[in-house]
Amino acid sequence: MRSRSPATLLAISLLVAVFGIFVLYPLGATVAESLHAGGELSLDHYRFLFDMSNRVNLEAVGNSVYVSVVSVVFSGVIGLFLAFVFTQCRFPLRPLLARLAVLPVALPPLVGVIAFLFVFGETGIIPRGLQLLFGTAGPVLPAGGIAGVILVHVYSFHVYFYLFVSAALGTLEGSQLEAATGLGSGPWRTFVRVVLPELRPGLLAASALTFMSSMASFTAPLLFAGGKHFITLQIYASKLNGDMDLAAAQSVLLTAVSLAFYLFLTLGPARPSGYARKGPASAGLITPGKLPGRVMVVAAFTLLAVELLPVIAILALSLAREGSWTTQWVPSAYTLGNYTAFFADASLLVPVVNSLEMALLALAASLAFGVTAAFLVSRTRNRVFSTWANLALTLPYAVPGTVVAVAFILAFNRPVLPGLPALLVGTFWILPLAYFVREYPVVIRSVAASLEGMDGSLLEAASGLGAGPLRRFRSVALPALLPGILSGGVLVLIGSLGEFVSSILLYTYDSRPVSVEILAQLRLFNIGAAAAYSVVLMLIILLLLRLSGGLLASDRRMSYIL
Amino acid sequence: MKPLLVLAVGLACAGCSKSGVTPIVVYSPHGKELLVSFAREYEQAHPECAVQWLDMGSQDVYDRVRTEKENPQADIWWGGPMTAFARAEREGLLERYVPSWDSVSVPAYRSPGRFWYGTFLTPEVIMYNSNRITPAQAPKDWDDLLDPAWRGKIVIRSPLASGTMRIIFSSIILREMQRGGSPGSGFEWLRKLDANTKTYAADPTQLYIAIAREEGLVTLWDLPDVMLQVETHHYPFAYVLPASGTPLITDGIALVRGAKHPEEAKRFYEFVTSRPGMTRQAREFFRIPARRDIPPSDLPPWMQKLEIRALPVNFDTLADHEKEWMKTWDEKVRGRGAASGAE
Amino acid sequence: MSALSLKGLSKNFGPFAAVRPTDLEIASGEFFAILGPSGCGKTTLLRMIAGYEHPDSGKVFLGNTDITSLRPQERGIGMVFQNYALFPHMTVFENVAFGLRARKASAKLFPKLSPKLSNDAIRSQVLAALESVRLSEKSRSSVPALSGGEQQRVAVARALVIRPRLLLFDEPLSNLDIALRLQTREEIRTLQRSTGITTVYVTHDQGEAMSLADRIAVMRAGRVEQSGDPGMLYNSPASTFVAEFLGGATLIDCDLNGPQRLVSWGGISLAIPAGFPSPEPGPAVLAIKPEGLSLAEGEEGGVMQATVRSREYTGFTTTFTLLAGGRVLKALVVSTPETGSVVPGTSVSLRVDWRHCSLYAARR
Repeated sequence: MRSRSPATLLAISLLVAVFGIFVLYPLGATVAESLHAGGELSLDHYRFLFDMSNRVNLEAVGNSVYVSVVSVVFSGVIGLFLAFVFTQCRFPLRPLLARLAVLPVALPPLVGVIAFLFVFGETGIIPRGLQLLFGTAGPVLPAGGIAGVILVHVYSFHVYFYLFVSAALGTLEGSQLEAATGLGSGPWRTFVRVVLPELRPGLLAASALTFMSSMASFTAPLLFAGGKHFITLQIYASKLNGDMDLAAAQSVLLTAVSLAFYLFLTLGPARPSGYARKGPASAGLITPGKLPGRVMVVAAFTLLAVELLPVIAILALSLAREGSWTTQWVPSAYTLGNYTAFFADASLLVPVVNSLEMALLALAASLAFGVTAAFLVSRTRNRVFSTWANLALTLPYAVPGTVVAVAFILAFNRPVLPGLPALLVGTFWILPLAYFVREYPVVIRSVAASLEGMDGSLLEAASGLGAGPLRRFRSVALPALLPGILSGGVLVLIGSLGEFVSSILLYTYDSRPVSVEILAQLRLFNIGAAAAYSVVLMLIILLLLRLSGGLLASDRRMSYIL
Repeated sequence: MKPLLVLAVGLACAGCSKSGVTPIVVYSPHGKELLVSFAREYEQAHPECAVQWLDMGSQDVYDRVRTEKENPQADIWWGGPMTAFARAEREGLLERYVPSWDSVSVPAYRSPGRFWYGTFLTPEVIMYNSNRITPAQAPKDWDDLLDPAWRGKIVIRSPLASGTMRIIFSSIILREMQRGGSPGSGFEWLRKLDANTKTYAADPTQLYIAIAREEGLVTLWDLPDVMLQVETHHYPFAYVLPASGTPLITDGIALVRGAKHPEEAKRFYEFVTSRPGMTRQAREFFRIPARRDIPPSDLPPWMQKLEIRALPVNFDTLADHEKEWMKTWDEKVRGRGAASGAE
Repeated sequence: MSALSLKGLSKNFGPFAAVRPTDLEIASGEFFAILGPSGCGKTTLLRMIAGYEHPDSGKVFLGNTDITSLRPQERGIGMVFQNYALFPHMTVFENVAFGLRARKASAKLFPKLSPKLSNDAIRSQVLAALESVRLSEKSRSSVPALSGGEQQRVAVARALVIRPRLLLFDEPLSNLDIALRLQTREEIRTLQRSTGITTVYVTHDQGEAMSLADRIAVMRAGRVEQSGDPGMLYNSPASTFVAEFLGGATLIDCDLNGPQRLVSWGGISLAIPAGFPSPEPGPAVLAIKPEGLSLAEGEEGGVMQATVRSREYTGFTTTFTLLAGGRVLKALVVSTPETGSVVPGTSVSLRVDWRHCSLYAARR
């Protein structure tokens, strides 16, 4: 190989150092911890995990897997259905509604779960409302337990299917459907023989993603699971009980499962092809005028309404007077007090400011690291190397938030290097760093997708015209990657602003984020305040999405990044 | 380039300390009302200080203090059962401190090494929804909760993170051990309770919501919190002191070893455990003082009349086994009661 | 002295030998084409000259300077890419100015390496370059708004404006339609003549190579099969591959009879004229270009009989596909009323013009 420029070498060594310290070292520390019991090297914890006489951990994994599989199936059906209606039917307000359909992806997990609880939980608005309506003895169709967890998952994750399928349908050539119809194929046959094969890669990718997310899900089981065991909760429980090494072993187990799916997701089926084909996009598999079409549109509208309900409920509850919502189906008294309090007492805004600060820090670090890494990896021509390098770099994508937190605690509750005072647990910095580790992969994925779409000869042309590496990066690569950087950055901000799973284990007083404050308010039974914080968080996120120029409207881009 | 520079500088400053006043960081499960009230009062007396409190489950406090051992964030740990304090003391997480009122403390309610002191005595109770259950219908004793009539009507705060629930469950195991000789009969008892339990609530609020909104009607909880909820939120809650006796938890207070602001922490310690402080906690927050020198006439009438039959609990044994028992409960009891009942 | 010399240049991609050790000398001011089918290594060779690929062995000299280890930005070579590689976020003017500005920036650091340019100088040079490709009016346009031909010309202007010591073209016309291709071909030739910049031009189109280049190297499987001026390559192809690829010749496996100087296949025997270069007797390959066969008048006027399978009429010429001795042959003739009456199935007699034929020993 020819010698590289000093700037490149410096960038590479910085990347390796950051990756080593903040990704490999914590994960390594977790594996090491899991192999110790009572200070001695031992496989006891793994023996315990797979202990047949005491199947609690296997049962927890079993529950997690079961919930994940069911979540995949239902998310798939609903996502596929919505994507079809929204790409294949023409009806009024379609663009606006199509954008609303991806809303759950922008909802912070904690807010989503809580909202869901308030609307569909045992004493939520809908079951109580139906009870009132039908005069039954108990709430009608309450969601709770395993079913509740699955419902929350479907609510949040069907969007993956929606995005991937919409993207694939967008590249489906209209003339293909016309050709199929012209050859005498009915709609059903066209769907099965022509459309479905085209969707297969997208469906598989969405399935893997949903499965991973469901396995890593912490908030939904925490609030809904009741007596059932889930692997993420087991990690939390072990940690609470003071068994850090058992928590480490459980983390390794969960990460292994998640990682297997991530490998499949990345190395397995190809994504929907990035290039739009010639000819008009397909439309018209479903004719809205006919009865089945009409039924489908109505069904889609109903699903959308269900999707919006939690958001509306959070808005309504933020206006509820504390204590006015016990057995009533909706709160009985309303007030603006939860909002005016923000103005009366600025200290109430501290968590919001904290979250913004930490999200910005995570954003800066993620962009610096992610963009450079994606760019450098893309320059190697060795496809095998770049695939694996990208895979390794985006490893944290497959690491559940609970595990990131456990790993950070294990790694950083002592100085990283002997002699260095770089102790992180208990400092402000640990949360932005955890957000960084959790979120930067999305920048790499996003920028890598842009790089894939970028014409490599642009950089060659620039160097042939005398531009050095910095100039090439700044004046040629950066502008071409801007959309990718922008969408990656917005996703980092959204993810960090609402992050809960790692935060709850790592926050300090100085760094308590909104999500933790929401939970604290809930714990203090200030439902209105919790809802008001949720609304503020949602507003910030919607504003970001607005500024990013309708990131969510581009299913193709999203289907690439996720 | 300039906006970038400004952003970078701004971000670099984001991590800097934010105020000139001395903070005192308090980890406590005592709840917002009590914490806000005493933090305000203290800050008025000492304007140079800012009390920063984090409210969380007492087991969460213990876990946090342990996690932050190398870089303690908390100055003071206020509240939580003495078993948690005893464990923390053994693990070297606490700083020894002898308060000015040592002479009026009760030996049973403090650490022999003077690492922590009891502040309140907290009796555990059976709490129920008073809209749906009359005092006559309410369960009278722990064993009544196992009656199949209550199946599906009990909601319990998820015990792993809750100091209160850990003590109740462990005390019951201890009691059953005395009756039956082994922890096994204790777990058998808890399994029957699990069979009657509809769900486990993730935090106290979920518990209150569930009982207030009649998702469940009965739970196991502690007396001051029940009274506080009734008082502040007018929830339809009432309690029963179990006839056979109840574990009387000593809530503790301690300085965290390696705290950043030890002197301020000591001052705050003295402030909240002073005689006026404890009296106010008794009157406004239903806390039964552990100090001997508070005359009954200063206490609210209900407290004067309160007759608690303490369950004889050997808290040393309990502290020794609690961790292991809770782990066993989580693995072998939680969610399995119904199955074992069917066997 | 050569403007560009390649000495033993080679490149492997894993087990695949993209370019086997290759020597080439290109004279100053020369227009040199590298011609070959896709995958023959011609683009890799060009990219090694430009510095985008590092050779596994061998050296590249620009004049007397060994530039093998220089990075592309240090070589001062202009390149026009197959897809033009115009920067989509810049205007036409900015695209063309890019190289000058990059130079200006590096001039701050290394004043000796590159001449310092003022903004005015950059402006006038860019406009002059755009003028030379007739795009002065479009200097403010954005790249995506241009037609394919215009984009191609911007790419040429961008490569020219840095006054390169060497200009490289990588299949620059392949994305244009046929009429535009012919026109642009001519413009490139004129521009090269007027600037006198040594040019290396990679293409798979033999017509393009023949019409543009002073000299051509024909490449196959990573190796230069033959190089020389177009006439020499056309008239004396050194291999069956060159004959077939450059001249469109039909290759016929045949038997070469030494003493009688006859080639024969499938019952057909042709007498080789005296002095015609031929290999050792034995199995041989006869290459006949379509223009080497013509229809004889009458049934017996030619030297061999054939059956017409199809006829392709293109106006001035007509191409016949014929079957002779079990082999398919092509004959390219000037259209006449007679050729119009020859329909598929007709038996014809063919004449052979040996100037359009060549004989090779059979490949083993």
